[in-house]
Formats: sequence, C-alpha cells, structure tokens
Amino acid sequence: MNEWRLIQDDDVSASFGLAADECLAHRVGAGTSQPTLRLYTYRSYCALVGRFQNVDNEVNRAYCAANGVVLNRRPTGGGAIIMGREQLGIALCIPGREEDSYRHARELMVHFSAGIIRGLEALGIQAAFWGKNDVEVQHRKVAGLGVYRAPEGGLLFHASVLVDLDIALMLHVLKTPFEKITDKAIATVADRITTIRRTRGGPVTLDEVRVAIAEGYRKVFGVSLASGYFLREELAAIDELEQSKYLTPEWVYQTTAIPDTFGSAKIKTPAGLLDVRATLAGDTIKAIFIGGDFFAAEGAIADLEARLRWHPASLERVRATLAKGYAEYVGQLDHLPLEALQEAIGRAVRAAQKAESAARADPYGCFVNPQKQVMS
Amino acid sequence: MAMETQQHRFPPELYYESRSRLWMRIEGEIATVGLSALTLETFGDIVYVATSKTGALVERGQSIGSIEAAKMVDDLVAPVSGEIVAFNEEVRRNPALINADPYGTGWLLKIKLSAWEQDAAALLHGLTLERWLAEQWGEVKR
Repeated sequence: MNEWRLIQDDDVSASFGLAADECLAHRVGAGTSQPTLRLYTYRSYCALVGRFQNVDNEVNRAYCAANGVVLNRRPTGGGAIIMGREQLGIALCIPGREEDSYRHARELMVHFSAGIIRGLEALGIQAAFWGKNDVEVQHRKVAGLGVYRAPEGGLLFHASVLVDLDIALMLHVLKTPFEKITDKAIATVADRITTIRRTRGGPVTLDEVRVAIAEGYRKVFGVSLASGYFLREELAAIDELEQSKYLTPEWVYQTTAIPDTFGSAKIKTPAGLLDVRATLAGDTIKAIFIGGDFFAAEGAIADLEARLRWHPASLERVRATLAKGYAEYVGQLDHLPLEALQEAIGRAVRAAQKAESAARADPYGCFVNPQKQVMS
Repeated sequence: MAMETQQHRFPPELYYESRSRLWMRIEGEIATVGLSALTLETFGDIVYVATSKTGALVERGQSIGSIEAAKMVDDLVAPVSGEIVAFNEEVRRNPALINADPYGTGWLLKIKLSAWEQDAAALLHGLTLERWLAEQWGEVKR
C-alpha cells in the first residue's frame, strides 16, 4: 500500500502556505519529497487570486490594506477567494504519471475531488462534483478546485472547503457587483454557495472536517496516511521560494495580457424580466449570471450558470449547452423560455466582446457570480 | 478511435516532446514550438498563456511559461535548449488561436537551438513517434 505523508498545519501566512504547496509539487515530481496530503488553514484573513488574474480587478486593495487582509497569488488557476481559520485548505501533491499528461483536465478534477466528497459523506453531507471544477451540495458551491502541474511532473491539487464563511466580509474584500453590502446581497450570494456548518444545520469543528476529509482520501485512493511535517531541507526550499517569489510584488501584482470584459442584457419575456450578465476572458465565458423576476427552480439556474463557466463564447456552443441543460430540467424551467435565454446570453456576450471593462465581476473563484443584480 | 486517426493529429514532419506535450518545427537553427492537437483536446480551451521573454536562455526541461484551461495551470517545459527569440504576441492576447490552429497561427514561441543533436535524441519523430503512439494509445484514449 502506498503511503502519503499527512501534514496538518494552521494559521500559516499566505506566502508560506502557497510556497509550501508549490515547492512540494516540484519536489514530489522530482522524487525528492514523498507524496503529501496537506490539510491546513491560513491566518485570517488573506485574499488569494488565481494564477492569471489581475489583483486590481478582483480585490478591494484599500479595504484589505485597512483591515490587514493579506494578498497573494496562487500557482493554481481559478478566481479570487478569501481564506482564514474557517476555510480548510487542501493541497495534494503527488507525482504525475506520463499517462496523466493526456487525461482530460475535468477528469483530473473529478479524480482528486473524490476524497473531499467521501469525507463530506462521512459527515452526513451528500456532495458532488459540479460543472468543471467545483464541489456542490444541492447546487450550492461548497468547495473550489484547481490543479497545477509542475515542470518536474508533480501534480498539485488545490481546494478550499468552506467550513464556514463570513459572506459580508467576502463581499468587502472581493470586488463584486454589489453596490452595497445589504442583507439582500448576502442572501443572493447564499443562494449560490453554502458551507459545511450551514448544510449540517449544526456545529462542526474544522478539525472534524479535516479528519473526515483525510479519511476520505485514505479510502478513495487506497493509501495509508502517516502524520508528519516538512523536513528541514524542505523548509529551506520553501523559504527560498517564498522569498524569491511569493513575497515579491512581481509575482503578486503581475498582470495578464487579456483584460476581463463585461456585458449585460435585459429582455422582457412573457414570464417576466430576464437579466443576464457575462464576464469574458478573450473568447471564453468566465462567468454568467442569470437573474430576473421569472420563476424557475434556483438549483436549475445555478446549474446552468455553472455549465457556462469557462465555456467558449461561441453562441453555437452556448446554445448546445443550454439545450442539454434544459433537457435535464424538464418542468423546472418552463417559465424561462429557452429561446429568450439564448437571446439574452447572446446579447450579453456580444456586449462583452465589444466593450472592455474594468471587470468588477468575479471570474469564478470568489463564489459570487458576476455583476449580480439585487432584485427588488 | 483508431491509432491511424491519432497519427493525423501528429503531423509527421514535426518533432514531439511526449511529457510536455509540445511540438516543434525545425527550420535551420530555429525551433517553432506549440501545443499538440491531442493536448488541446484533453486540456480544453486555453484561457491564458504566459511565456518567458525573448532573450531568455533556457535548457531542455526548464519552465518556459504556463497555460491555464478550466482552472488547471500547466507549466510549459522547454523541449530543447537554446535562446527564446520570439513569442507569439497574438496568442497571448487571444489564446483561442491555440485551439483553433495549433500547428499554424497558434504557435507559442521560437527557440534558437543550442544543443539540437543532443536534444533531438530525446524527442519523438518518425519511427519513435509511431512506436510511442502504438504504446500510449491505450492510455490516451481514456
């Protein structure tokens, strides 16, 4: 039976936490460190943007500076998140096999998220892989996932699991479409995300979640887990990477050549107003918000939004994806005509393609859909 | 899908690095580098790409940039040693070009070769490519 090292550490700084994960990915790939499952927490609070995001598009830097929220950039992809003592960080570092080179990205996400899902199941929570890279409970996101493949071949699977979440704080830290942090805004976010405590309807400690998820990985991957900590030589390598990369403004505040673009469309349908907002990166839809005063099952709408995240902006492919979704939600989307939704998304996407915006919207990792309008 | 079909995705005039999933077109002392069609099929739509700057000296196996598709970030690993003499500005601004035309306008960068004879021995080409396709296809088709 293969053995993985299990590292459990808490209250780590953003720079150390990320440097340690990346360093292990390199070393495990090179065969100088053993495969490691790290279950840890960050010192409250930090805001971590995805590998290619622009900090100024994602984070309220003034608020963070005034409130001691530390900024950094992950090696993994995805959007901005906040991390602290109530969000469990997962870093699984294993050597990649050559055949993994040709596994579909989604397959890898599904594969690596299975330990989380099994762990939550032990806590009485029925979770499932969702869309391209999320774990959901009843169509509400409870964990975000990302993968980084190091040049040495090591794989780093990253996840953030929401044991609890201060949504109001998140809305202050991350740039979202909400003009004000109101109860309605918070409720709107809560329609699309959830936490382990909320799902269980009772108290559960972060350590209980950590133990359950460790056990989930042990069972799913058929490995034994041996508790340990970073070796002295690993700490030296982590320190070097932290100093040379994760503590430098060149890494944290780098920008990409592709600006986010935003577009919206409102159309009247027989069933009510339909309000669609789209955020694009180049020719890819990063996030879609579908709102309005029509009646539809919330889970079905959230699922359509999830299907369209990281989706080609080609309207032909959008139509195909929507048609597939409608076929699976018979009876739940009757008051939202497919043709009207196609039209609204098409207009929003075209508007985004025309206009370059400062992209206040979240791409996909901050758990908030873009430019969400608070319905009156 | 038959192995013969896979061969169409690996134009025979090119060289390939199996682990980093890159192709190279060798013209004189310059290697043009890009992502293979099969790589893109497994990765999906590339959303971001970043490459090392021109003038950088790289050794085979070193990171020369990274790409992101659907929250998966992959380091691009130099398939050959040399000096980066050009990167494709168009694909940095519009990575969709990589998916649309991987062996043409979707190229990533150009490297002036410094150890071609040594590097070539480790690359797939001709018979070694055919053998690799035959050996790997069982895994690839998953």
